[in-house]
Amino acid sequence: MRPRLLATLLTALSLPALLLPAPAVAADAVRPGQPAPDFALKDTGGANLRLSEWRGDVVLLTFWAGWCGRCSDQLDALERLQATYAARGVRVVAVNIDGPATAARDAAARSGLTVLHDDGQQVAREYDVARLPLTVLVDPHGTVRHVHEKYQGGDAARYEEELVALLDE
Amino acid sequence: MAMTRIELHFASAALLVGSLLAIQAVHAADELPADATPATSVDAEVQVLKDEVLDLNRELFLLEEELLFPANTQVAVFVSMDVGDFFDLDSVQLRIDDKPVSNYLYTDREVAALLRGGVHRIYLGNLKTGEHELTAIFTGQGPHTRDYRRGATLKVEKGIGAKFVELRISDRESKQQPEFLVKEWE
Repeated sequence: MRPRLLATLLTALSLPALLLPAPAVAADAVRPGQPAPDFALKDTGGANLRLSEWRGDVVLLTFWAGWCGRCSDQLDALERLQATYAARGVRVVAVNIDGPATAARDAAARSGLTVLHDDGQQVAREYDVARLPLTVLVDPHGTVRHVHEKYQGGDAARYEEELVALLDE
Repeated sequence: MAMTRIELHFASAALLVGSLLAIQAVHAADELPADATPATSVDAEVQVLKDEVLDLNRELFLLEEELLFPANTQVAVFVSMDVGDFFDLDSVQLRIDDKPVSNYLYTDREVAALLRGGVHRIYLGNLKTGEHELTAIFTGQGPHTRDYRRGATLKVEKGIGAKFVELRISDRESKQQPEFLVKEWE
C-alpha cells in the first residue's frame, strides 16, 4: 500500500509543477543532478558521435577554444587523466568551439582525446558556456554531477578525485 | 443480562479494532514471509516503488505528449532505410514551409539500427490545417564514397487528425543510385 500512496503523492506534487510558471533561470542551464543535454557532433575524423551512446562510462566533457591559454593547459592534464582511467571507463571529450578546423584542434586530436567540432556553437549554447574552459562531469547514467568553469593548476587533482568517486559508486 | 447502549458501543468499537488488527496481521503475513529478512522486504518495497515511479513517469510522458501535440494538429516525421548499399547516411535536415525544424546527425550505431529495420522519429510537432510543404535534405556518401546531398519535397494536406510522414531511403538497383521517398501515412 505504501508505494501506491507515494505514487499518488508524487502525482499530486507533480501536477502543480506543470501549472507553475517557468523559473527565472534558463531551464537549459546545466546543473548537477540534471540530465546532461544530449547532442551529436562530428569528430576530427568526420564521424558523428552522440553523448548518449557513452552511457555506462563516466564522461568528462570540456568546452575549449584554441585562443584560450588555460584550455591548452587543461587539455594536457586531461590527456593524462584519459590515459590513466580509460581502462576503467572514463572518456574525455573535448568540444572545440573555434569554428572551422584549426591547428589547435588537430593537435588535440593527435593527443588521443576525443575532439568534437561544435562549429555553430549550438551545443555550447545548450550547455550555457559563458567562460572557457567549461568542464562537465557526467556519470554513467547520463546525469551531470559536477560543473567547473575556468581552469587552474590544482583543478586536475580535483577532477581526478571526482572521477574516482564516480567510478567507485 | 441485557447490555446498555454505552456497553454496546464499547463492544462494537472493540470488535472493530479487533477486526482491523486481524486484517493488519493478515496483510503483514502476506507482505513479509516468515523466512524473509527485513532487508529483503525493504528491497522488495523499493523495487515496487521504482516500478510505480516508472509507470507514473510513462503516464506523465504520454499525458505531456497529448497536451503538447494534440491529435488534431500533430505531425510526426519518421526516417527509415532499406538496404543502403548506395548511400551511407550522415544527416537529415527537415524543413516545413521553408523553416528548418530538425537537423539530425546519425551515428554509425543509429545507421546500423535503421538498416536493421528501425524507424527514427525525427520530428514531432504541430501544424494547422491546410497545405504545407515538407522538404527533407539528406546528406551522406553515395556510390564510390562521393559526398552526396539530395532533397525530397512533398506537399501535405493537413486535415483533422494526426499526420504521419515517412522519409524512406532505399536503393534503386537499376540506376545503382540511392532513392529518397517521402510517403504519407494516414
